[in-house]
Amino acid sequence: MPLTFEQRIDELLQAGVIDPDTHQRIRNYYATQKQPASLNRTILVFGILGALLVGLGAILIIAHNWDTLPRLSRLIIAFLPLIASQLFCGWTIFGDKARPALKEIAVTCLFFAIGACLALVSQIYHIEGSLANFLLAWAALYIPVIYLARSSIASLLAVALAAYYGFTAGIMSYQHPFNWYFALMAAIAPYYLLLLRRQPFANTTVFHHWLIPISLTIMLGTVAGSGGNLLFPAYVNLFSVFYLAGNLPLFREQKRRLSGYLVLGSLGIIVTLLICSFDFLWQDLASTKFNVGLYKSGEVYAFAVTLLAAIGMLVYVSRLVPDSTARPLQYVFAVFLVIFIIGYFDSKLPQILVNLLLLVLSILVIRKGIRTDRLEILNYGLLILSAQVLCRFFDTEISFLLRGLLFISVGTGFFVANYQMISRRKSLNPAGKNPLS
Amino acid sequence: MKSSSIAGILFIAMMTIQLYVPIREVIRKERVWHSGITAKMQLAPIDPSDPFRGKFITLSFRENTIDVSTRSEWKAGQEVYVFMKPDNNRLLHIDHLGAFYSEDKNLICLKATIQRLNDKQGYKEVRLLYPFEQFYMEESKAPKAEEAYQSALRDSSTIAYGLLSVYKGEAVIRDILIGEKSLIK
Repeated sequence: MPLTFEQRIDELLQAGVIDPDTHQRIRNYYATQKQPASLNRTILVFGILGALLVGLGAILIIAHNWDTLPRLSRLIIAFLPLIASQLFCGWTIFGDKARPALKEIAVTCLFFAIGACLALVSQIYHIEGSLANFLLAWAALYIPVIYLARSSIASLLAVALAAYYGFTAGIMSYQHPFNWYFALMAAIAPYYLLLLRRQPFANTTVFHHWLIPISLTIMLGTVAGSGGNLLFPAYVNLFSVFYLAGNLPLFREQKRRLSGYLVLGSLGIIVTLLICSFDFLWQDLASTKFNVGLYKSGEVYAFAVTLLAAIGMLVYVSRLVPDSTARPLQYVFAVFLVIFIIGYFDSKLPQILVNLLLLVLSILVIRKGIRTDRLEILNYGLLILSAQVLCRFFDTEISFLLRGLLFISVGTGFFVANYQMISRRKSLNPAGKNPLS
Repeated sequence: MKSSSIAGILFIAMMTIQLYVPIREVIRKERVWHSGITAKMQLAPIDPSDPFRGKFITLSFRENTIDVSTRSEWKAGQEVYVFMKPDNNRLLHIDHLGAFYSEDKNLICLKATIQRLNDKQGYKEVRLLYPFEQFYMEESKAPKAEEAYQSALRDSSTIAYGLLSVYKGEAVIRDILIGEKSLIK
């Protein structure tokens, strides 16, 4: 168990590094300090959770329908939370003292109050309207709060709401020919860029790095229509954009597990390739006949836009970070595009090529893990290989004996690779001490 | 001007807009409610649910189709005005469609949207969508309401209808009645 701060300064006293007077002065100094930042964060998190739960509870109560109350009473109840939240928000922003924790709670309350007011008014007067239009109105009224309150929580709520709207409007596209999702995201983007500049390592900024690519991934699926097969290369392009963005210097400075773009991009590419390693896509593609209607489908535009974005990002990242050995997946989208084109003419060759591509990628990732001495990257490469073998378990006609031998080989590879890396680390650092202690 | 003053002005402007949007809807609907004439439209329901806005019944009105000439230029998604004539029981029946609102002593005008056009032999059938086809109810009442409707449909002597307030093409649905029994009360 790691030593506490008090135990450490006691240790220094016992070792004779500091005298008893210094020991006492250090203890007195920290006893008079403000509560630690971690406690402030705890209050903030629980405060926001409390506000979220209260807000959700209010919406559920609203949905219960208060038929027994007169219209005027229902209107007062509809507007009261909104007015109260606005005043609360204003007080936390313009009050004498800065209250960052309360401000985040206030913007959360205001978020739900706007939705509740709109919902209750439409309920009282039985106003016809789709869920998408309701969400759009809610998002449009809330987005200015991000800039006036300068709140990252407000930004996260707005991104989540915009994604929900985009998804709803996307799947009901016959009712909503124009999807305002990108306009909403464009309105939120300046604040996100500000966060990247001023608070690049803040937790709320990191949450954006996950939420934005997740929302874009969901949105891409809503364009599915007559040209459905084109979504596969479109997704590979999109995930490549995320992967390359994750390799920008700003995101490379973050801990790997916190980099949403890098993790989602990498996993997305591998999962999409694994799906395409089965034969169903290629059999369907080879039997597809070209028609003019295909070129008017949403998938074509999505494919074209994502391809241009991937090419642009590749050029940009290559200029900023010339060393490409750190990005083994960077050319996957181009290779997959070639394989996809082959798929229009042959149904067997593309499947073989995708499996070869996965094998090569797993080797490149394993090699990167060995070179950079990163166990997690080494194991990720082995995991890609294992997933590929597992997929082939289901669709090939090789014997159980051979499948068993394959699994044993991969499993043994896991043990051997990890053992060798750990042994090498121990040989370089025999005492096993932390070099910074 | 200090930046805090500008921020304060912008915050007040934002509050005003956030209040204005729902209040504008309230004013519009209240004007229809109080100044509009009362009308009845016969209907039949289904029962879905909206997660944010409570339990509602989707209403389908009997007077939701009209035949037009094949040469007419109506399009799906187009907003139209439906001119309706009340019968002896004060139930509305479609008389004709119009592209614009106009006052008529003998007819009641309702705004609607053309949902689709069906080609028939020698004419087109226009299917209309009214902006008051959702009726919010206390959630335990909605399934019972649907049951009551299904019974009313089977019983030809009972008429189920929506009670509307109509004002200059805008309509608000005030109640659903089966025979003369209100679903709300």
